[in-house]
Amino acid sequence: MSAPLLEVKNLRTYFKTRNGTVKAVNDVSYSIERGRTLGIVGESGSGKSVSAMSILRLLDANGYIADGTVTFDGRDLATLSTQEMYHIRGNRISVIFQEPMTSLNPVFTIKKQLSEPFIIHQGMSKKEAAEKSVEMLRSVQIPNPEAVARQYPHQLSGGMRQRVMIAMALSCKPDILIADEPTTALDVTVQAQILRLMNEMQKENGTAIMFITHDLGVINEMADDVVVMYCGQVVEQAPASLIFADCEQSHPYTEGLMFSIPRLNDDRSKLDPIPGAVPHPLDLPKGCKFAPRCKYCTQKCIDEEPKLEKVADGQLVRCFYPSKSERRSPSHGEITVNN
Amino acid sequence: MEKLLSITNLKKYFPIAKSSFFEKPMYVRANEDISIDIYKGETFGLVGESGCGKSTLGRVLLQLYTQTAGSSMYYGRSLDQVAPGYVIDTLKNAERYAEKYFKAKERADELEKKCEELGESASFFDLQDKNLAAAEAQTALFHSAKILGGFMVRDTKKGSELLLQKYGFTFKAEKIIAEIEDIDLRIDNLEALIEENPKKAASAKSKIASLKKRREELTERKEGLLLSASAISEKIVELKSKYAGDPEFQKYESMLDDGVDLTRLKYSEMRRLRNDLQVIFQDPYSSLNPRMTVGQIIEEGLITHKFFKAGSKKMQQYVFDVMNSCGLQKYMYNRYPHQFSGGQRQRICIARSLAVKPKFVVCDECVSALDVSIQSQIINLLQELKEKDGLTYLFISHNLSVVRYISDRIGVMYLGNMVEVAETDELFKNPRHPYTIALLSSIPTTDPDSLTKERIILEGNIPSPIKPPSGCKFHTRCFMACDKCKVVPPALEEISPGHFVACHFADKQKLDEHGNFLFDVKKTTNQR
Repeated sequence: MSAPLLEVKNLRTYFKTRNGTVKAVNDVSYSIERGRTLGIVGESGSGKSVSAMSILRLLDANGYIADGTVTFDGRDLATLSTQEMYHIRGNRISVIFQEPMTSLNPVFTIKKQLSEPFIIHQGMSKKEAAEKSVEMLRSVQIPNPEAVARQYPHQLSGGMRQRVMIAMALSCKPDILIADEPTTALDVTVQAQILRLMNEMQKENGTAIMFITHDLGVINEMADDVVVMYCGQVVEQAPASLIFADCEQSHPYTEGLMFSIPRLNDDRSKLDPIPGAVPHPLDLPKGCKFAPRCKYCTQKCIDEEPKLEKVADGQLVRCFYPSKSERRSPSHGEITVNN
Repeated sequence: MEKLLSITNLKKYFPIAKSSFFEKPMYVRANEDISIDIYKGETFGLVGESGCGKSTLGRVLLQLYTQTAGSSMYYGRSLDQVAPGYVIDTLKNAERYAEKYFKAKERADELEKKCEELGESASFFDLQDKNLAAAEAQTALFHSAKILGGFMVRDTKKGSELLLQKYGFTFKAEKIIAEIEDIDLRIDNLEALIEENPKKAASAKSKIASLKKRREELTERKEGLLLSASAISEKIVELKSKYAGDPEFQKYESMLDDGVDLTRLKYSEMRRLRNDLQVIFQDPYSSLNPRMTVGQIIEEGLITHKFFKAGSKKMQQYVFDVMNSCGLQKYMYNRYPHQFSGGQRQRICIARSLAVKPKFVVCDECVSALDVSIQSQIINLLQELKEKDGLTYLFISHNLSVVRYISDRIGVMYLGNMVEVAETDELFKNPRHPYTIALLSSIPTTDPDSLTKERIILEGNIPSPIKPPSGCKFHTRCFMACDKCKVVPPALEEISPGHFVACHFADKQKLDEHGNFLFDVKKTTNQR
């Protein structure tokens, strides 16, 4: 097997704050192969966006990569110079951000903004770039692209803006597309359109997609592999086909997430929510980070931190009791935690 | 089941700023002809895409926006209890109100005829004028007929006088009843004081004696008023019996309504009803005042609605109880909103609205801004509180799976219109409107089988509500649309008990038991 396109290994991204160092990403490893989709799920504050932004080194001033390597196509992105990073960002790795409203510049026309990557990365003239950007708009199925190109972002609807963002991200035919909650702000019907478009684009160009979201349903539809993050750590990593089929082993957090959302085809009279809330990043529990909210928690979980271990082919779980049937059995010595 | 709210032909238009004085006014049609009944103790779910007017509807119901036309009747309190000024006004000027309706009706008919004659060549403004005139006529009809009934067309003067007298008595009686209740409360307080502090017993006892005397006096007066009211009621019945066989009289008589028309209440009258009708907003970050502590936030409503006096010990205890039932701890009483997470803030919002013991709560996207694991905690909390206090919810959300979980009945909205209303199970098993089907099929689920299913993906965007498409508003995106749909707007019709659909193809069943489509359309699958 050849080396993956992008490999993140033991990545640690920390933020210095007045009250101490926040370990936003704490020892995270994953890899993406060409033409595949990696889905990253987690609640807000789980470090899923920060880990992706660390790849591109787009961190706030107080954030830094403390440890680990990000290997892209044989090169370590963490050691590249700023100049070299310019040629990678937007060219070989591009991003679609969550809010299409704030990620487009309101004072430039769509054409002007879409031409930029062509002029910067491919050295085209303004005229060529303008033609090319209209073509890009057409390829993301925007009706009447010539007119839209002359418009300003505020004249477009949310779905249209997100299409423009996709067009911009795909303009240089990147190897990797990082989609950070691209459909969260959109309606379901528009979301379905955007997801279909991304799938089509992937088939056409063979782009690898890193799909960050908190919506498990979207992950089920889009991803080949899934990484579940909690408090800056990977708690489970498995192929999508395994995670959504009721498999024998899983992390209690993944299990909890699945049970806590109302499904279209369930007849439960009451939901089973995960109790409590995500712990404060400066005040993380000593043992397993999920222990205070876990219904299978034992004394061991509070004292020791479990490692990410292989439990089945392609499946990694960070839990002492990965087996569902075992931890549900009465002999499992769980204790109640007061948080 | 008992009705709590009944909305008929509700319209809400927002005027658009004109660029010149001579330009004709145009409107954003946020709600168009919405009629629904909400029953006591149920959860009515409202779904639709952003911009379909679901939040507007929620706010119009609470009278946070004034509605353009139609009526929204509230049955949580009797007309006598609220004693609104508009009833007296209508009865005093009964003839004028009736005349106003007939004039408006004449104008509406005239414009309707004009549009029919023009046919296809009728301009946008012709149609708009026609719509507005029709809405105005209908509102005028509601205003007079709901109070006057058949007297609108027969014996207007005599009938309205009698009604005026009757309401005069019952309103007064209701006021006295409220006063008696107040006295009861004060007596209770004094009795408690005697037990606590025997030193003050003597003065308290004399106070109680005088209060009791006053109570007797009031009870007597109340009974007198009620007697004269019932005497007049008999006279009214006698007068009405004359017209038992008169179809014109009966037509208007059937429109008589004993609810409170929220739209016609004055600001101060509505203010007194506000504790019955509460709202939980979408964003818990911006809906709490950052300068007030949690205690102050919850107490504000209690003080405004005179549940307690400011700073009383009893109130603090009550606030603790409310906080506890919403899953908040006592020590949070003195904290500020910024010290809480999103889920906890939403709990504070819920505690704030439920503290004043509402009957009807509008939950406007109240879980959309929260994390998945927190969402289910809040949904469970809302369910529990509903069962405990017998609340009625209007649950607005764009998330169909959440709405399905919490609602008894669901209304689907598209571009300001209600396109389908049905009980939850019925709507999901047997959806009849193409929009509902498309909406259902576009939700991503965690079910692995769903990947192989066929899906419908709607093309394009929701059209502008300023100039909505003619005919059925959905025809521009509909996969079943025919020529008829482009011209004739379908009415919301009952196809089976409790299942209303606004579609020309409503009779056709569209899904079989396994959720497979029974029609042949160009389908787009979203498979990998």
